[in-house]
Amino acid sequence: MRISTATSYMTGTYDMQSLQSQLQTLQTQLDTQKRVVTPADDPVAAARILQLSQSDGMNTQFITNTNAVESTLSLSESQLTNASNLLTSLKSAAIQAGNTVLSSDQLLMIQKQVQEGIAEMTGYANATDGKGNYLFSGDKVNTPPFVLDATYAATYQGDTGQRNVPISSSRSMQISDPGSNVFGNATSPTAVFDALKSLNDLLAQNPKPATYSTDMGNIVSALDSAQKNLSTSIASIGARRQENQSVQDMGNQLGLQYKSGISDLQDLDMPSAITNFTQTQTSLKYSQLVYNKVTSLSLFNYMS
Amino acid sequence: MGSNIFSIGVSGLNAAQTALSVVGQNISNANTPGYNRQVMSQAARTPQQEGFGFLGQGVDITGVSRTYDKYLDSQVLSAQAGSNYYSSQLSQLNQINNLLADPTVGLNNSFQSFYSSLQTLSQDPSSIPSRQTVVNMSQALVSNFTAIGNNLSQMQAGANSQITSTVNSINALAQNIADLNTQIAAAAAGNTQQQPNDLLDQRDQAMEQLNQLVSAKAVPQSDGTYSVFIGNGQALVLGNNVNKLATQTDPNNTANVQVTYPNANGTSTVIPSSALSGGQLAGYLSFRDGTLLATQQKLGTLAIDFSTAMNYQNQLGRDLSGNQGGQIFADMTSYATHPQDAVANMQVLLSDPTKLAASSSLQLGAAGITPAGTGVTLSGVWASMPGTYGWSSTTTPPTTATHPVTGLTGMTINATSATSISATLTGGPDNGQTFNVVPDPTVSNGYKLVDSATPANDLGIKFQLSGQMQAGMTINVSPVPTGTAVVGNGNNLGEMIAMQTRNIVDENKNGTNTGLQSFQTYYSTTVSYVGNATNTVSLASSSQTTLLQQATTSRSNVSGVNMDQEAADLIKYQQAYQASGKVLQIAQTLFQQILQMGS
Repeated sequence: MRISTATSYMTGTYDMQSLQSQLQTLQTQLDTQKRVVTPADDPVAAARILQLSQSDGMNTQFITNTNAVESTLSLSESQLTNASNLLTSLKSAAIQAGNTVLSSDQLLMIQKQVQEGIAEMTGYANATDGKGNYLFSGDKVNTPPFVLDATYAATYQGDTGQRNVPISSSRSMQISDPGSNVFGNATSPTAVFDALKSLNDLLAQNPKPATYSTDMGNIVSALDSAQKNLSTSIASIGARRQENQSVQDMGNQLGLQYKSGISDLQDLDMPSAITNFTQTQTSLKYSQLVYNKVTSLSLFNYMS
Repeated sequence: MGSNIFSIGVSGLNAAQTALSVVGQNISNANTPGYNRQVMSQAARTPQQEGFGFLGQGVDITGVSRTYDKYLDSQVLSAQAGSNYYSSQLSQLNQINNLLADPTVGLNNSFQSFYSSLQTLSQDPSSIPSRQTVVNMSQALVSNFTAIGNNLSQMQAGANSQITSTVNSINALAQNIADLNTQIAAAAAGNTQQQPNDLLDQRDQAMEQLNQLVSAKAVPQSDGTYSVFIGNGQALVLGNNVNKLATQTDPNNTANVQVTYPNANGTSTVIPSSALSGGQLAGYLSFRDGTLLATQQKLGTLAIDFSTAMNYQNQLGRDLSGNQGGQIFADMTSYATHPQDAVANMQVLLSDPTKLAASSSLQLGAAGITPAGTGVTLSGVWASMPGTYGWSSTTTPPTTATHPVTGLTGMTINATSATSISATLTGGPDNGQTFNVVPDPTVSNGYKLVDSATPANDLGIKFQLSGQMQAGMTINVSPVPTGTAVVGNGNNLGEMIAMQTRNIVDENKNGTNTGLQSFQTYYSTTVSYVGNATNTVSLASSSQTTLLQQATTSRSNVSGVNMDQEAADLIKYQQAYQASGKVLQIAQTLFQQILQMGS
């Protein structure tokens, strides 16, 4: 077969160009350690990688959210636990005051303790988070939920709103509890303070009314029911923290899966890439050698 | 007799000398593009009849022709057109492909950052720093959109200027062919035997270059000229005449140019892009009107549907001052008929972080919940995106005007049992109508209103209670008075967050609402589309390049110069020359002999 001189030059050049282009692709893959560098490298994998990184990004944000949920809920819980403990001690004060042998001086001392307790309880009920938002005022986060007048009569200034933070693509977690549900009950949004006010009012009466014992009994049971309400709220927060924790654990697991999914699609098989690189490099070396040899063959070399 | 030997020797000498010239020409032009190897042909002269028979009279040079295979040449031309069609597209496509591959430019991260900022805000909807982050992230997202949009516009401008300069090159080559036509017609002058080989080579080379730019067919005429046709039969060159192509601004899209062909009466006709099938020109047109346009449209659709949906929900809520929310992004609904222009006009309108409408426009009414003492309170009631949200056509965008809360003056939720709940609306588009209420599983003790369709669609109002709905309960809902701020409420924000995964992007906008995708899924589909287009063209390009290499090699093997062959010919004709010289010498010796005989 006749071959033109240009063909032997062209063939060598094409071969070397093609090998160089292969080398360059391999070099980019090795530099980035990625198999899919641009979408054209594997369009299906590229789309899947984007979708997985979207899921991973959302998941990361959900994990961040669960951390925020945990800190807010634990803050609420510790305030309510303190409030519950306080209520326990005030209840025992009330039971102590129910002892009819106590003198009026002793009762005044208990009243003093109750008044300080009311102030402390107001502190817990009007607790704020780190940013100055009230924890228990519903959606009116700038308004202190409970105000007490000089007679210790309490008013609830918040509303019944509650905030939700998304913790997974299908679940939002309630992070706030309105004070009317926690410190109040179905009939009064200020049940705790109502009971404490009644206790204070009763202790202030001198001489004691005839119904003292019955009244004190009613107050103790009112305190009891208020505390039950508080404990229910604490339990509800605890349950939410638990759910939040398990969602977070799941999120961390998912994060690992997403990352390994992305890595499976995107990462380069290093040993085979290096092998390919070496092979291509060797081929190019031989192409260059052959080009040199073939193009130096000429009949003119023998003509003098 | 002696003169006969002389003239035979001289004819051989001449033939060998001419053959050496042809070999020299071949060697000199071995690397000339388009050069076809030339061959001298020779034939024995007509013999003279003698008494004993016919006696040879020497050799005649019958011609110098080029080794030219029309079939192989036309293969190279069509391979040139195909190869350049794909390689010109590929170089452009690679730009988009690389642009979308860059993770710092990719939109996915910006979308995630935007929605992450909304989620962070949901922890404390009144927080100004968190709201400011939302504003910043909106800005970053839009900057990202416009950066990609600008890049695509630059590619569009680049493709247009390539088209213009390609048209100029086509005209120059056409002129070149027409000039060569004139020279060839004059030189050959009807003689089909003796052809000006080097001029033919130049013209074929010009045809090859022309085919790199646009697919063109040459039809040889009887006078030796080529008539050159492009597209679907437009004559580019006729004899020495050139019908020059031109470009003009596309009246439907002033950013683009169109290729026009001159008419006899001085007007011009637009050559449709589909008529140009090969070469760079078609490659650039196909890139500009194909993948580039589709990418611009897809990004535009994404920008339109995203901004429209976020604006929609923001307008359903109340801002930090208790006023109705406005538009977060500039309204882009008017671009739905030509989404390719949308991205360049994307813009954030929200600059005051307090204007983000995080809170609900609805609240517990004055009549509250009856009967009192159930212990169940209303944790929130808010407007959400209806299940029927969507575009009924490209010119009818979704509007909050038909949303049930627009103009709503009150709503009464009634539970005849814990599971049979209904809500009656007063005021607004659904005034006086009663709707079913079903649980909404995404929040604890959540409920939503649904319409009467099968399957039922979300009506666009949701509420949440502190406990389960109880039989006999009635909840009264009223709009929040304008200007009354409910700063800690994040119900409307919650709906904005939910849009991240909701299927909203509607490529067709024909009212069917099928095949919708979420923002990020749609973006990854777009990336995949570009990747596929690039991949396909890349494969086609490399196979066309191989085809071109093969065609070029086949042609070169037939008509190219082989130096060894020329070297051999050099030796052959040198020896022929020497031999003819020897014949003359012998003839002279014979002649001398006769002279000596006479002396």
